[in-house]
Amino acid sequence: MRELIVLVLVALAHGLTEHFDEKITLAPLSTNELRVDFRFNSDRNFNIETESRDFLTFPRIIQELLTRYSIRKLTVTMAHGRWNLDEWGVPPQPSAPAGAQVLAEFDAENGEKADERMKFLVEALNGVLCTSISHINVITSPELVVLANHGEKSKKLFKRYGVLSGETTCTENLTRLRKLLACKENGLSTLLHPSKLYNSLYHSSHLVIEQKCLKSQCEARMEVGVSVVMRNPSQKSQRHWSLADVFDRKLGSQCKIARSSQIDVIGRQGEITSTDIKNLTAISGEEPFEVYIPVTEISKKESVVKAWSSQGGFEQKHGVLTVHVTNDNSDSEIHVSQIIPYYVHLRYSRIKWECDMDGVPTIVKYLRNSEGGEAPTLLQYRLNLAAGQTCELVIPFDKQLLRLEQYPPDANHGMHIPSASVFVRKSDSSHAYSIHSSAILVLLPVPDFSMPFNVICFVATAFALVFGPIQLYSTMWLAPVVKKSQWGRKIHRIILLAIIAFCLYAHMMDINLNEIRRGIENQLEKLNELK
Amino acid sequence: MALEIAKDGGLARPKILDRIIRFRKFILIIAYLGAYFSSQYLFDPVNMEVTRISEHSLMPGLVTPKFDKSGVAIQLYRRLTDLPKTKKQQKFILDVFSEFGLQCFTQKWKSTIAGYPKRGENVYGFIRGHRNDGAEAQLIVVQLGRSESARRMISRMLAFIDYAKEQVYWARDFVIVFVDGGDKKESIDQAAFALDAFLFKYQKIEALTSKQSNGTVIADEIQSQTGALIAGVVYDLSGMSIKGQHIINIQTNGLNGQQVNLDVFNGIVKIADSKHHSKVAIYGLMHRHASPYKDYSPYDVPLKALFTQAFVSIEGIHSVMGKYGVQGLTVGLSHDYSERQAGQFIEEVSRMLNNVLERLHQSYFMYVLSDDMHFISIALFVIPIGILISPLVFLVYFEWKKCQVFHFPLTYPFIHFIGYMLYLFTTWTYKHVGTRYVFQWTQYPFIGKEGCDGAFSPLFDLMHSFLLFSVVPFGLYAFYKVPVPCVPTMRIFCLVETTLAIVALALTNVGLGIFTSAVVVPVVFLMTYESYQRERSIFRSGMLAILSPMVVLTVVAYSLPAFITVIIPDKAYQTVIGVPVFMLQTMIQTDAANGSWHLFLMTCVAWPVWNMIFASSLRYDLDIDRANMTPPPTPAPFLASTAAGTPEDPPARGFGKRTKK
Repeated sequence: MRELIVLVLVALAHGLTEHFDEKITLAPLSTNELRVDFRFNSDRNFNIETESRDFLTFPRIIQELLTRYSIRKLTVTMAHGRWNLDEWGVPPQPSAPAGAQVLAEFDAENGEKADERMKFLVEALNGVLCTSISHINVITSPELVVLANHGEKSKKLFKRYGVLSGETTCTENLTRLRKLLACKENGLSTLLHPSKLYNSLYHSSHLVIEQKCLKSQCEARMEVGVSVVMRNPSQKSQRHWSLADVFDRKLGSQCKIARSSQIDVIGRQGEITSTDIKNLTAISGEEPFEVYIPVTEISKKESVVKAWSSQGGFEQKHGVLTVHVTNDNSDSEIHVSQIIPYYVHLRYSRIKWECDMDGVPTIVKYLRNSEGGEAPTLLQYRLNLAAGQTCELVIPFDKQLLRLEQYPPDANHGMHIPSASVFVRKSDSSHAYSIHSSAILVLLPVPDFSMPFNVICFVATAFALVFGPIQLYSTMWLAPVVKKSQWGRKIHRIILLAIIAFCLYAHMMDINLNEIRRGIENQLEKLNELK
Repeated sequence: MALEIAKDGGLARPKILDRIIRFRKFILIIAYLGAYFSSQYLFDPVNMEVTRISEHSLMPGLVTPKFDKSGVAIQLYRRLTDLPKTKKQQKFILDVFSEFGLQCFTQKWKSTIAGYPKRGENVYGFIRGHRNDGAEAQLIVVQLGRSESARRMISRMLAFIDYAKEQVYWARDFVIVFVDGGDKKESIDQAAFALDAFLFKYQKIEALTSKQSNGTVIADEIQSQTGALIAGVVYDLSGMSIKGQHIINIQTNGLNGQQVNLDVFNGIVKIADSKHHSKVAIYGLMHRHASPYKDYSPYDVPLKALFTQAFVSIEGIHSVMGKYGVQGLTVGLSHDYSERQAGQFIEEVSRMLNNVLERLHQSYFMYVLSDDMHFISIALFVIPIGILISPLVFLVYFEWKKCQVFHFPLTYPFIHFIGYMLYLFTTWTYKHVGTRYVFQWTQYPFIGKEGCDGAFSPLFDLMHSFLLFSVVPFGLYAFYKVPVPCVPTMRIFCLVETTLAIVALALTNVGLGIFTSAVVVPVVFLMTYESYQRERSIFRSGMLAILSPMVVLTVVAYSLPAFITVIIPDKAYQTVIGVPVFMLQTMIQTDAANGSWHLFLMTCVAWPVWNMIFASSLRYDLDIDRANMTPPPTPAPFLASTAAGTPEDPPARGFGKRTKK
């Protein structure tokens, strides 16, 4: 502690300031469901010429990422489960599709440099967050807004966006996220109990980092967030929930270096009860802090734009992806972004929008094909929907027969088409958020090494073997010259017959191959002994 | 092995082949015996393979069932029983789903087939797995109905839905469809048609093909959806209990010989056996392991399996799932299962399908079951079929070698064209007109009682006219009047088409392949065997004229009552043409409504081949036939340059000996 105080004093003397804030928001969604949002924010103001190597609470690895890859802003999300838009309202922002999502903005000289940086950044994130997203489908420069927190437009920045639907999130990711926090063992981070957080209906975590520099003075920010929707842990709907019920542990310590440690509990009418545990005088293991969360249902549900994807077609050649978007009860500007991976080919001419009510509104569309054999395609649409209007984006596609090495080990599981991102901006206010539809699983044609294929091969081979020589001998002008009284041929036949007889004997007697091998070895050993 | 230019120019046929072809008539007998004994060996359960789980070790529902909503099931059953007649079951199910807080919709559908006027209203709902991404789903189907067993099944399924919606471990969503099969007893077909309408819309076939309907049904669009359907299970209470021993009834056959993946069947059998100590009946039969007190023939079940696969297009509601890439089967739970036991059974099967890692592909799709533990795979059951069709192959080879001049018979495509026209006319009439039709130009110039034009116009029955057309041997007349110029070529066409059709059937619908080859091979073989004797030709042409495909089917139907009566009602046997009419009606209906191949095979393969065989069975000038066997007058130029001298013509030598006798 003494070293830390000295370090802070030294840092302040140089003008380096870092802050760390932590917050939990507990919001009952229904009598049986509770939403928990963890937010850990770190910021760092420093002079890039003098203090780039001094760190107090801000994680050094994040600063290195920002500096090394010239990142202006980066959002990484990992989610498991499905956000129930009907019941739970607007999802935690930045919204996360099932799987992993990366959206990065770079300062770069040109697009190639940005591509290169994205490639290395993804690998670096694998190390920092313990993910395996190397196969992420990265798209170049989305024109429209994909995530609400990346809404600013700047011509100097290069945006790269990718989604990997099949990526699962687990405790390893949470452990790595905790390591980025200033307080890992104290404060609210002690409530990040993996076995409870992952035993939930929905789980998402995100990392948002950004850096802005004005001349030599820079400001770096990091937000680590974990959002969870839990079931009523006590299974008793009568009494209130406690922290121990929710997280299976109690809050027994404070984060001393945090600027604020806040617990917000949202009530039935949306009222917020805030408690800053920094202000509490005594929290210890013997006398833990406790918060009681009312068992209630939110009376006024927020109207929210809904989006979901569905697929059609079961055959191995064609398929269709439909993205359904239903507006809420006021006019909205909608940006729809859909990544189409390389393993399906779009039928561009048959892509269409279908809307109810007043028909299809004016749509601005952007189509972006990235370079490279395995590069995905990005479809983006901007449209204004009237209140309650529903539109469907119909995307027919052809499934590709890939090269053998392009299939994953579980090729028969199918391959995902990532969920569509839908950014919503209300026309009457500055309220904006993004949501994601569901991913779909496309059953691609796979090389068939299954039993019918083998049978066809076997039958065809047998026919070829049997009828091939017959046809050959009976039609070809070339014929084998067979000398009678050929001893070598007779011996060859005898050997073949002996092998066949032995095989039949072994088959009938259920002799194991290992036994035969062992027998041969024994015989050879006996021969050696004879010598 | 060194190859050199043979002394005889390479024309010499291997002696073994020469002998086989010389005794080709006996090959038919040998092949029949070989196929019989090989089948007897292969289809004996003792020699069959034992079923095993290929997909995933956790598949057979190795879980502790926790379904505890039997009270809900009983309560729902009472509510369903007390349902006023004015309230539809669909509305009741919608209400129950709404109480559970789950999405539920109805889908009205209507058949556009004039000969099959049906309509109904399905109910479908979803259970969303909380932790999955909604990319995959499993399908559960229950038939609506007011019978006691239907009400019980519906209430148990609703209780299971109440239980399942609270569980968090589902890796896949549930799509639950209550299909409207009407209230009549024979409503399985209608229920299958209703499920077809649902799946057609669910899989968005019209978005792929730019067709707005499949031509047979008009149905509401699906209002919500979830992921790809990995498998589907239809539940009913067709099982039974004998002296406290529960028996589960499982049906696996799909349309056109499709079968459910063996892993699904095997998993359910394992659940029934290990968790519920229940026996399993397949194809409506108990097998020899089921009861130690009764002597069952080991061949009962395989024969029934082959027969059902061959001739029963819609075995259960699940039969149409294969059309849409869904692995489906019907599980008839024991009628005496308690609510708790039934719910736990459904839970275990659902959790089994929840454990599937990939789409079901690792186990067998083409198999014949002998009991719940033994099966024979396609690798083995093609052997008897191969042996059975070998005489045709040898005959083709013989004709091919004999035939020096190849005349493409124009009658070949023409007869097939007529067969296809017959198919189009029949299906079009059935779809657009109905089972009875009137020709406008056959209208009598009378006016009816009420001035109706059609009062005295003749009304044709589609079945009768089809039967009449299909049994008239047009080929006999046509080939008698205008014999084909090259009989061996016609023989080759008939034999090759028959062989290929049987092979294709064997690879897709083994039951149909085996039964077809058992009947067709001797007929085609004997009718195409060369013969110049007048009496023999008259005899066999007369026999062939009688043996039209429909007549053969009728004879089979009368000779196998033990099997046939399952699918043909007794009242059909009361009239002379009752059986063929019923069979034909079933064929046309399943073709139009479900997409069965039977009618197409009958009209476009069997009927044309039957007519073409008359060209070979009729008496013909043997000199013309033999003329093809004479060697070419001069050897080929490149042959002349060989050191072998003038080659002797082996076919003339080989077959000449026989013809001199």
